[in-house]
Amino acid sequence: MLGKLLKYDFKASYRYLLVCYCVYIVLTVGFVLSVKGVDTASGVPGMILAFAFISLTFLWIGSIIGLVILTYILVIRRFYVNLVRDEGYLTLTLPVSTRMHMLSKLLSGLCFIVLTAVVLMAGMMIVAAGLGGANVWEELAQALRDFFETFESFYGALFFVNSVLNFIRGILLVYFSICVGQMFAKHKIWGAIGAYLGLLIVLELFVFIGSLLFGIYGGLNGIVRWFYGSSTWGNTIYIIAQILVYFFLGAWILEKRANLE
Amino acid sequence: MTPILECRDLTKSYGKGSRPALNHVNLKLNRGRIIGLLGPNGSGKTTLIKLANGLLAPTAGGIWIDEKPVGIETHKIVSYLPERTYLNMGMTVNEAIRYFKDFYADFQEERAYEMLKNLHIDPSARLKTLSKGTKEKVQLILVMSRNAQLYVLDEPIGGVDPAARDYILNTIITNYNENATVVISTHLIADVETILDEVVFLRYGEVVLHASVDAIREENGKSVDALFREVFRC
Repeated sequence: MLGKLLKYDFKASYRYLLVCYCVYIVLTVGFVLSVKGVDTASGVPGMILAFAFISLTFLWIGSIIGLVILTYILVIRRFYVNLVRDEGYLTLTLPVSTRMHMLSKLLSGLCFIVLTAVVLMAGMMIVAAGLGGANVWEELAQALRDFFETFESFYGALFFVNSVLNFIRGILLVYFSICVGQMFAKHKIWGAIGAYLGLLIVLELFVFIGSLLFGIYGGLNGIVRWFYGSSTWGNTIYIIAQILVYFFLGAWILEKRANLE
Repeated sequence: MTPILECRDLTKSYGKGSRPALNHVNLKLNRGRIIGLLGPNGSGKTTLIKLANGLLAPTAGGIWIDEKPVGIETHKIVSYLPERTYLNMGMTVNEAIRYFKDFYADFQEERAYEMLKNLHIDPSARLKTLSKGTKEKVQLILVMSRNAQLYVLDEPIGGVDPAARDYILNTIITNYNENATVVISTHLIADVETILDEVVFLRYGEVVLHASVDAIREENGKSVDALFREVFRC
């Protein structure tokens, strides 16, 4: 059933993203061409190209920001519309567990975010190839080698693992907040936003109080560092615990406590 | 024969201090019947239907379908039509059919296409381009194309024109097997009365009457519509 759920999650969103990816790539190529053109032309054509260069620079930067925001909106919207709005009357009465629904939304969301990151990187490479010097690929290869070398150390690898887990936690926190919002009789969206902000504050307080308790507030040392440092096992456990709570409690709320309007 | 749906002391409250939407309901619905779930607004009909489909959890008591607690196993045998449009409007009718076929083992594709043809609905049309009434017809076709044991239809004829109602009611009575039960919640009692075997009257979350249509006519000398107007007179 997971495969079928994923199929429909992808089908529901891919069209929007595909159009945005195409617009971004076209704007990237346009930006590169305008930079090259503005260096060579003069007179009236030069002024037109300068105007095109400024416009395309803004559009290109806007498309990067827009693509990131749109991807997150699509991921969150799919969960919201498909599970707790009108479509939920069908989705939640399919012979599928709510945990499977959560997993499907998480995996499809992760795929879309990774795909957007890959497309953004591809755009950057087009810019690098178009505007960089002769040895741009060599420099890029070296930068990648340096990047992967950090994972060869234990702490580098743990930092990477924790970053990925943090990323998953971020998506699940939004999903969980939407589920909590469903427990309110009215103003469910405000309930979800309140739950999200409330949880962020509680988690920050947790870190703050932890730091105070161990008397080392202001510096991450000892046990606090073990818990909250970005490349420690303690932090891994802390994030995994949150992931499990958001995942299973969110699925439980959908099954037992949600009341679709 | 075991009942297809059984409520035991079923209670649902939406909040502390508020009147329960369902209050200690005990009800058994048998197989092979077409049952009208009738009551005024706020009587608990939709709450009961949501509980039967696992969209709400009971506050107390329980609800069993085919002797199983509501869950994945009962979703496999219950075909549910809510009172709203629940399909992804970006889908075409064909895609909606594939969706049902993917998730429900009892879905009969040929039956769906035959009904679409009879109602002159283009399977390649995107759902968002269809009128409200046609969307409701598509949903009913999808729901009735399953070979389910229990069909739960919440206001199935509310949004369609009177001319289409007869076809829809005919669709309902000709597209379920004789061992299946159809529960229809509606305000349009006069329209559905001719196809009902039994009725359940709900008021303020309590069952005030559960009887066969024949018994109502014999004992009260009235139609179900007339009895409803008498029982629920404002």
